[in-house]
Amino acid sequence: MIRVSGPDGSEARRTYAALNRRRIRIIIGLVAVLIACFLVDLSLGPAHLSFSEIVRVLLGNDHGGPASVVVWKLRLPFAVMAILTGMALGQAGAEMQTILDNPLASPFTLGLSAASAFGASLAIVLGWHVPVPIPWLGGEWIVAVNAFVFAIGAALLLDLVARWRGAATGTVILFGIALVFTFQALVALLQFLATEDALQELVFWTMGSVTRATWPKITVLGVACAVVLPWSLRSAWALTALRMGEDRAASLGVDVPRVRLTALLRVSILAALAVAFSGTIAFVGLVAPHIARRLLGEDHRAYLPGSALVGGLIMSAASITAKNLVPGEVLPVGIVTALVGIPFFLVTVLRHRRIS
Amino acid sequence: MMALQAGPLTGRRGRRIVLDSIEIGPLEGGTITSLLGPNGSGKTTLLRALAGLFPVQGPMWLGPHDLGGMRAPERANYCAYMPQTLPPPIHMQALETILVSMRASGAHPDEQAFDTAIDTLERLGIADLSLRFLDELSGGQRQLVGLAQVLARSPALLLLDEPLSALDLRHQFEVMAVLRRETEARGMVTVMVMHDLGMALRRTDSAVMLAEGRVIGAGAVENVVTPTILARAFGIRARVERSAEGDSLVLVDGVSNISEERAAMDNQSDHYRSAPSSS
Repeated sequence: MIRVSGPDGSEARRTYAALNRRRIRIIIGLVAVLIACFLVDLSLGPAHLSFSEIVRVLLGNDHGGPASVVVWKLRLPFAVMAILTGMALGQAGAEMQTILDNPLASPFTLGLSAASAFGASLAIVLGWHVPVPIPWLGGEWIVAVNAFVFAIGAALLLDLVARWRGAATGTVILFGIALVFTFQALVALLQFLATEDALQELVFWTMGSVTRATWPKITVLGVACAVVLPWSLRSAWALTALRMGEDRAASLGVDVPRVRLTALLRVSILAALAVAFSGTIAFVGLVAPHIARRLLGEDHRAYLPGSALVGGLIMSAASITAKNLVPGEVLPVGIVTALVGIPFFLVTVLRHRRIS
Repeated sequence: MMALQAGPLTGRRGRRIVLDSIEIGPLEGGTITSLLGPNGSGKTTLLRALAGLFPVQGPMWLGPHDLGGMRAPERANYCAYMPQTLPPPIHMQALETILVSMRASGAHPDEQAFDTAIDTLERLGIADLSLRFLDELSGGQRQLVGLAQVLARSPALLLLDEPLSALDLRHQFEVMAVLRRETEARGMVTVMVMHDLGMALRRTDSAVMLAEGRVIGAGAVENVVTPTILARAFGIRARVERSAEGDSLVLVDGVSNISEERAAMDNQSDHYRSAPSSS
């Protein structure tokens, strides 16, 4: 063989270690920007509070005052919910794109969001909902539970199609698109039949908003994120191998059907909860993984947390914009996610092109 | 050294039988076997069946190990399979993909893994590609990286689906030389799907000729790549000649028409029966 002078073992080792260090630095950077965004989100809003006032409230020095109510009941829950929703959708989209081997996969494009919006509309418009055995749960929770059940149902349907005689991933995508249109049509039908009041409520679902965030909901979604992220990291190597092609991964000893099923389970938990609490939010689940991939590469040890962080960042920035775009008016965050996210997306895509 | 012995294997796709009582082996460790046959004859399916990726009925043994009874992750400890499709052009360094391929089955991090990966790249002569990203490599270079991915796993059974398809002539011979060295040094059983009959004749030890899901010739490669078997498998008129340097060459004179082929088959049917046992 012709020997082309390549890097020797130690040099390659150094370069690989440097690559991994760079990934860690980028992740730390993302966390820092996310925290900054969170603080900005906290300090801006229709009620003009100074930053020092907010800090005082957070430190517990202002009980029951109007500033305290604004911070604890409005600012903080909205800001936290925005980040958690974005993280859940970002990570869900990341795993979906890997297991379905399709850059267009996301909870929104494959019908999980549409299904849960339909579940919510059923509860809101017709009062029809899955039996909830816990009597103290209020009406809002019943809607959320309904949305959750429908999202899980859609995810299971997708999995069924994926495993049915080993359908190609293209089939799964087409099936998902069929789900989107079916559920959107059904939601439109319910909207047509709905009363004025129910229609108002439906708008929340179809546009997506974090303004219904409450601490119990935040706890549920927070716990889900805290459990699911470490869980997904356990299959990081297997998922990375899946990026090299399904056959290749299988021959490397990856139990592809099992990895796919567990990933889909995680996706449905995250996407269903996010959508159940914040309505249908497009774009984040689709684009956050692409940005993370550009920034961090394909190694899922970095890509999965990266997608969650980018998702959180987009939603946090969207939440800031939603509150401040129209003075005195809080827009549904779902409306502005795309407007805020597109610049992020274009910058990473174009920057990457120039480097390579 | 372990030998591969498989079959009779029968596999179906829907109702259609795509592998029909195929018997293979024993293929000894340290030898290279080419899997030959026309398009759609079941070569890839057979290779995937051996890798445990296509369900078949029938026994498969690698030495004392019952491959057929293993689930895919366990089987990956013994087999390495390289699909016909090239590794996709993803934004990942060649070295990374090799590390992933060594760790995907959940193996524990190994200090040696890194050295093995570098060493494999060096032996394939592509150490200079180790830090390049797959999305900036050519098809042939990606094929070499794919080969490094499977070789780095040090399998006992190496299954390659057209590993030379994207390579230039020089690399084809170099890769065959590397495969020869590795196969002999490690006592591997190497089975590869090939289209280049001349390469099969000159660089592999034994051959299996498939047609319509059946074995129509098996044994030492020079007993399989013969005018009669080629006529039957491909429907071509071909000769096997020796070059001035003593290498075997396959010369194709043209396409045989069906009736001629049938007549040849009838006349030579005794020969077909003897061909598989001639090894």
